[in-house]
Amino acid sequence: MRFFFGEREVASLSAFAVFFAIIMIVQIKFGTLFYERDVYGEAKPVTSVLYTTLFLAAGTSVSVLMAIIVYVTKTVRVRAEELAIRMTEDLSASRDQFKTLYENAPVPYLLIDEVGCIESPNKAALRFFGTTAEECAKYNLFELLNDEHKSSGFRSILISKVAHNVPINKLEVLVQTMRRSERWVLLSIFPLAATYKGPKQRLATLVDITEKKELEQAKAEFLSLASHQLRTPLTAVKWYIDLLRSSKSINVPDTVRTYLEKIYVGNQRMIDIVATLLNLSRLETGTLQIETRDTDMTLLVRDILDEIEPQRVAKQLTITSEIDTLHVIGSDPSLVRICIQNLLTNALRYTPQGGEVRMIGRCDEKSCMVQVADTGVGIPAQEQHNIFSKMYRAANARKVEAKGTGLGLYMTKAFVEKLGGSIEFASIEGKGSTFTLTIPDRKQLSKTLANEDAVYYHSEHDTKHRVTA
Amino acid sequence: MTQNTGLLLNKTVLIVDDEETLVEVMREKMLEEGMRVLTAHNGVEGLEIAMREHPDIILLDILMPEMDGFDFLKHLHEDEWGQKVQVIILTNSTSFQTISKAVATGMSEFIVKTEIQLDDIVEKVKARLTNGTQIREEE
Repeated sequence: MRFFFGEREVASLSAFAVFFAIIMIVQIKFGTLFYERDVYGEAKPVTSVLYTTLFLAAGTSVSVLMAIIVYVTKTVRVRAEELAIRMTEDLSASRDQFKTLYENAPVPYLLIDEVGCIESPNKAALRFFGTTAEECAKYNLFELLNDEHKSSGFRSILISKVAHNVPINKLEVLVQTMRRSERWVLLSIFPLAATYKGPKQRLATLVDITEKKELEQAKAEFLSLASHQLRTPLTAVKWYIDLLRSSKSINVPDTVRTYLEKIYVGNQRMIDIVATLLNLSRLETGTLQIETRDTDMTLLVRDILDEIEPQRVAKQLTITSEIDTLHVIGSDPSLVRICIQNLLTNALRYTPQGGEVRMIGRCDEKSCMVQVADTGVGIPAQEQHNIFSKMYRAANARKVEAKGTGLGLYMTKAFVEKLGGSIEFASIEGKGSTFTLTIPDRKQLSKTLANEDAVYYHSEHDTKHRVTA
Repeated sequence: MTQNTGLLLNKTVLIVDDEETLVEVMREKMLEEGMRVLTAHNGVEGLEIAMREHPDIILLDILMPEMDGFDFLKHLHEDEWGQKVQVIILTNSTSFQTISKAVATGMSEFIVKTEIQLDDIVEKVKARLTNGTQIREEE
């Protein structure tokens, strides 16, 4: 009993038992408490054994009932107290866990209020800023963001998003620190505990990507430098062959002329690879610029067809083209050229001797469609999902042609998407492939996307400064 | 091509490029076309020769020691004659900054060396020396 009943409960039950005993004794002994009326209507004390017994039974029942009620209440209370204690322990344990995690996380965490004032920087954040918690609390996160490279409204858009509890996910920004140089970070901001009624806090995480940025920069600089350094000797080879080929004063024997052609082709391949690598580095470092200008699609495609004529002749391929109705659109001619060139080169490369390549071009008001269909080896069904991956080449393609970087389709897709267009294909292994480029007219596009940063448009009279990049 | 050779006969071209092999091959080609050829290996030297000799056309590299192609153009434009002379920029730097800076200088054609054949340079020089002056007068 003692285990379930506290002293208070035992005392109250005992008191009730004593009280009940006294009533019983008084009633039986003196008959002064309970009366009954006899047939004459006279009040007489209840003394009969039957009544006493009933009374006693009722009393006992009440006592037992009371005991049960007290027992149940007590048990429930004990359980509730135990549960409360356990929950409190759990809560404080998880708070400690959270605090340890938060404090020691390798990523800088901050809590900020709705206007961006810094509240609880963790250790990584203090290391990141190179400062103390006290000093850190004097700053506003938004004022530390460098917006020089962003559009002018960038900061106010960010502030308004945060004020309206819109999460910010992995925004690449340059952040000023207190004791260190500026750092590149991926900034994410999440509203904390939407149901919590206290002051509204946001969790800001700053993943330092400065080293990655520096590596990318170094890679881009290296590629740019290497390509410049490589281009000079490649130009020298190219131009000396040009000189020999066209010279009227030097007599070049036929055998040498044939060899010169081969040297020229090899050299040209190197030039193309260097150009591809440079474009690739621009693409991956985000330094690829789109220069929208009037692009005569018919002229462009004709030009490319002329360029690949020697390869066509060498393989005795038939190229049929329906491109005369193509419009002049606003796009980046050098990027469009690379895309179409890549598709045509692939078609030529993977179509066997004597095969056929068909080019179809159509334009509507908003875009141009250029389709290249070959009768080549095709792409095996199980490899089709991979063909736009970087450096990927299908097994049958490698068999047909050992050389090839696996960058062509990857870059074509990236470029055409940069231009706001798309690429699609259909292919049956052994029958051939059909690739379709859709290139939007950026003059139309820039009307709808008037705010897009990358769209410049050069009017027609600018185009005489031909830029071949 | 042969019938046009007369066009370039006795015209003077100044080649400004720090890469000796490229200067040499261009020189060879232009001589073959019957032009008078002057060469310089940096901007300072080039500017000096340009001011002294007043060539009909200048083939200009961008990345050079001493004085680069942009500074060369800037100094050239300070001169009354220099504002009118034909300039073709030949470079291998295709960084966006270089290109946009070149386009911003207005008067110049910008060509990437690896992307052009020697014969095409001759064609461009011819085009510049015949039509170029007319276009300029119209402007």
